[in-house]
Amino acid sequence: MIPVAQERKPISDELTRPPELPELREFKRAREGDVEAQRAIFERHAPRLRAIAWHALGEGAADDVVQEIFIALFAGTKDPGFRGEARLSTWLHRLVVNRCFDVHRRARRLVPLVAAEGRATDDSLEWTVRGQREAQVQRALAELPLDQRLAVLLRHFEGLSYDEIAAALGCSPGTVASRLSRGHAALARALAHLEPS
Amino acid sequence: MSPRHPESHVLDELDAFVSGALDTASSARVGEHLLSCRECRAEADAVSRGQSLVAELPLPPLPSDAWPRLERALAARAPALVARRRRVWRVALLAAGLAVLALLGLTRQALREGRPLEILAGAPRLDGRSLWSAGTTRLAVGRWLETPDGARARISFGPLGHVDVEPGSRVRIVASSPMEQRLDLRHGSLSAIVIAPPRLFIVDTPAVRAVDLGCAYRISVDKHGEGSLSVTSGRVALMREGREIVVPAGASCAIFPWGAGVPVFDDAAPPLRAAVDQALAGDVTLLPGSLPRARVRDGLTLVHLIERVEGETRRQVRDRLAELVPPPGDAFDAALLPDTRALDAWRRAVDGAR
Repeated sequence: MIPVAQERKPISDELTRPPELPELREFKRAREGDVEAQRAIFERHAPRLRAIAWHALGEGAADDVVQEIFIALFAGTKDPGFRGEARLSTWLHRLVVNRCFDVHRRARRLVPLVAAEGRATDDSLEWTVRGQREAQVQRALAELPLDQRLAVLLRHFEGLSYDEIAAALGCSPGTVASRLSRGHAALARALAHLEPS
Repeated sequence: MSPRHPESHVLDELDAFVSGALDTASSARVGEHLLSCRECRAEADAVSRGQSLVAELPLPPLPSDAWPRLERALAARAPALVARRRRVWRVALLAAGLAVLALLGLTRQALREGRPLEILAGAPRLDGRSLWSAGTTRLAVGRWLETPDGARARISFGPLGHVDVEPGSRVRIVASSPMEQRLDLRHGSLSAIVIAPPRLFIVDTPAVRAVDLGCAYRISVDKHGEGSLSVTSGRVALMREGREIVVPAGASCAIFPWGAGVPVFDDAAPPLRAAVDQALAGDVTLLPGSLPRARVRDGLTLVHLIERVEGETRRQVRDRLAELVPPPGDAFDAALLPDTRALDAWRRAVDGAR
């Protein structure tokens, strides 16, 4: 059965697209302070990057990570080094992964995923209060080792191939396959009680 | 009895196997192992259930203050530099824009007043008010144009071209500047003839954005955002979430509420067209039998379709595409993952072969 692309599933078919020049051009405009270009890039990429960081690190840390990434991207004194030889999204994947590992190494305390109990601290948490099941999936995901969690998140939210996940995580495609196998299986075992008996 | 040697287990390959991402030989090997290994079978089932559970995770919306926060932070970090760069850029843009406007014979007053709007038939409505007079009026930015009861109208963009608004449509101009002419087609049909630099002329629909690359085309959407794009000359890019589908002349592409379908040439064999339509709706039954009807130029359809199907069907589409257009590099195996870089390269090869 074909998985007809649903609203939340990234459209991964990047077709015979024009040269990278438009994306690089937009990026350069953003670096030069063009607010419209900055906003366009931000709105295009931030939702999925934040979702990855959210599930990897927790609520508060995710917003900080996303802000830091885009501040460095648009206004950092150090040239980000993006030249259009790869897609900007590929580049951003590496950035969010690196930042997640940095934050995790500093052992910042994860914000407990208690939104299902109704702690709507900002307008974006409303989506998490819709159903205990969803909250349980989020909790189980948060229990995975960070490297497995990131592999699962990159696969789910960005629809990346094994090669692309490997590039983002700095490991081999075989390691990605192993992490995805173990991560998905661990989630299923942790959430076995959700399956119909 | 299950094998006892750990190295013969296939635990680390199960995600790829369940996803249909393994090559033929590996998939066969893993499948054969699963027939006799209860442990790996149970793990495969767990992997499959885990994938389904993760698929339930929705994409949370950005907080409403996310962009304002970032914008403030950017402005605070380098206000002088940002301001200077903006001034330089805006002066250059203004100079270029004024030159373009002068070339087009347009003035700022004319832009404020909107684009010339010619009534072709019936009584179009402007913000709900019927236009009964024949002749030309103007469509200002933000004002809704509707064409009920057989009405038709033409929006002129000067030397850049024009857009004919067909009966049953609701459309407005959302941007009209030297860098961008953008329409919002809420529902209905437009026929556009655009002679403009690429990516200057854009039509937004509820589901996708059509970006002109220098062309003539017709785009239709109903009130649910479902419709189609047909290109008669040039190319149009359908965009959503930063991804593009380029539709060339002589091809059409379905538009769904969730995004775009795949480009299909209008002269493709009817069985192939029907099979692709059905496949996009979730039924691949007709697809394998229709693949022999694909020509070299239909490789454009197949190379897009690879990512829309799974398992054995993906393999069959890939194999037929390989018969029509040799895959570059490692695209033959990588297409099954699917590896988007490999597919991009194959698409370029398909373009070269058409």
